[in-house]
Amino acid sequence: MINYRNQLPLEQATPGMTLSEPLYDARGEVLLPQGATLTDAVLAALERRGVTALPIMTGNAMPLSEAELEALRQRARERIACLFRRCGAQGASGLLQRYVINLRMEQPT
Amino acid sequence: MTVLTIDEVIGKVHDLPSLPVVVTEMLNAIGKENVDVKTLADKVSRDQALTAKTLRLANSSFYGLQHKITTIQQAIAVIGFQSVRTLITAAAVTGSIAIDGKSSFNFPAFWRHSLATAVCARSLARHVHVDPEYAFMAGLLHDIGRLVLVTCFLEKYEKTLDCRNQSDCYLFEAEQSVLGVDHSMVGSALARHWKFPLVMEKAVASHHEPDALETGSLAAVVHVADAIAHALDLSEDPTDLVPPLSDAAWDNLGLPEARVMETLGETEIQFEEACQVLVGDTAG
Repeated sequence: MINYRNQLPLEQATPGMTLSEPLYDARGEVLLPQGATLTDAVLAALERRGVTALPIMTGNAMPLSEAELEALRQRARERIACLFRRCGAQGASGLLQRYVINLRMEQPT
Repeated sequence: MTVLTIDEVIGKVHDLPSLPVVVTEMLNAIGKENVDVKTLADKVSRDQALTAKTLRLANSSFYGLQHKITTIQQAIAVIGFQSVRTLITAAAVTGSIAIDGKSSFNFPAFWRHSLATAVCARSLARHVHVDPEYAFMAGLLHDIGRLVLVTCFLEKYEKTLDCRNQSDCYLFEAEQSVLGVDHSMVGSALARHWKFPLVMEKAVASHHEPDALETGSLAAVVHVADAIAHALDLSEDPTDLVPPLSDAAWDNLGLPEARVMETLGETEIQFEEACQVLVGDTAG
């Protein structure tokens, strides 16, 4: 799954989110590395340093509801059935179909 | 309408432009010792378009480099001659065949699928002791015969596409019934014309029937990568179909589930970036 980079205002950032790229201060020093997970303490420290926005992975900036996820899964299942409509579900073709379904159920796109 | 003869097709293939001489030279250096890498690098560097495209590819996430590469010589030093050779070939072939006229053939989907197969074949090859660079190139070129058919036999190919859409069959089946030849045969003729290594020519020739010939693991890798690329829906073609997967080819690779899942993920990630570099200007 591709995560698009996105600047999120600090007040909307919540603990558990991860940085999509390093966070720099005005002098170009790294404050937090890419992939760092936010905590309450980190958010408070960033606010004290005057940080106003953070590069956050879109995936966890706007979590999808369970209903939205289920709709995506359903669409993925239908598309996979369509792609495999002529090769059948026997042997290796069937195995590949199952693996792709597993992939899309874990990470619906 | 009469079907095409093999001689007719091969005649057209011979009229197609050759690849840049330096690309052929590099391919012929595969497996040889005492390759004059410096001379080859200097020759490539004189072709600005080819150099620019190659470097953009080298700097994509493909090789996970820490620092940006700015010359062909530097690229060879950092990622190796073999890898640079693959990138140069990819950059050269994706710009080699131009169409003259209007066609309903979906060129962007064609290149997206070719590149997805290349990236996937490269990922599979690592697990089964097949040269990853060969796998990438064979994957990239496995359907190239289609490009020859659509550019050399425009009207006949239009009928082929109509036939496929009407019966929702595989495109290679429509090619066989309308044209009398299919893209794998034409592709292997082009691989010969371009003086590609024999093992790659065979992989292109047999990617739809990997058990028909004693073609070895490269053919199996390309066959499986082709099916995976279709299954991941990377071509963005709404009418896309996953080709039947040969049990023998699948078993030949002997990949455990975890490896397949790893390849699926790796393919999707590397594909997106390679696509931005290579497909952007060949969408034609």
